[in-house]
Amino acid sequence: MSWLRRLFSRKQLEADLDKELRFHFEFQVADKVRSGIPESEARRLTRIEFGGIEQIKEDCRERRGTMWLESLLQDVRYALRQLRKAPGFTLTAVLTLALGIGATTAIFTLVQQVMLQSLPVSRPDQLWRIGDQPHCCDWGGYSQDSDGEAGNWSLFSWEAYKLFRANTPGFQDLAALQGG
Amino acid sequence: MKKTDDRFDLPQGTLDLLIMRVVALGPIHGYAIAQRIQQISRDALQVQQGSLYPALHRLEYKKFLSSLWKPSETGRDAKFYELTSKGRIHLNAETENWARLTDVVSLILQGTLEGI
Repeated sequence: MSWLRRLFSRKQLEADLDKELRFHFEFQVADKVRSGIPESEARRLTRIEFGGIEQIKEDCRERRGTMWLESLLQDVRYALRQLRKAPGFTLTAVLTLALGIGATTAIFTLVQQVMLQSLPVSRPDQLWRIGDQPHCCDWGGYSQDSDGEAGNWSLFSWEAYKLFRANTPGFQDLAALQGG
Repeated sequence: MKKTDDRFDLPQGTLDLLIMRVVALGPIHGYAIAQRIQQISRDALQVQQGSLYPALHRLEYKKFLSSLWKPSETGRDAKFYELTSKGRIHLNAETENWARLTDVVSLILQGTLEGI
């Protein structure tokens, strides 16, 4: 029997275990009665000899190999029962978790977009921006931040652009965009 | 194992071996296994239910034993255990191990103390 089937036929296994131990018990009582002990006394003695029958059953269940899953399911069921009993606590816990996970996800999405993801070009490390401010071009994505305002681009005349393009052999190409 | 007077405790794992040996003789239920072990050992070993049934279930789980329900000598249904072919192989191997182990242990225990 596979452990999965063992798990689903739990009721049957429990009944069998009970029947098996009961059989042993009755046989032992019968043996004592045969040897001349009155039945009530024989039952009492057998019960003492048996010790805790529930303990024996528990030991047998543990040998069955599905005990870990069974106790896990028991724990889950117990947890659900407890949660149902305290709806206020449950609601608070669920909301806290939901908001926490939501906020974290949102922030990470932002950080991922702005700081972690590389530019959508094949070699982002070879991409440079030209500007006329000291910290114009190596800081924080597209913004220039020279005057504390994001998104300020260095402005050059068309002629200056053509001059740059002609005199920057270190770059493969130079591009500009026109505003307004 | 119950320990009184001339009775003694079994080393770990020995009970499995004894159970398999008794079951190897033919389909047998738990109560009879305990009785048989007690008889063969001339009452020196008394297997308690608390060790017998967990052992039986463990051996069944390991597929060394198989079981089926059928009427017992009293007419009531009982769970009869049988040795599987896997169990037979295991029993043979373990019996051999046991013989080797006891040989070695008694060789040492019975040897003269001069060599030590």
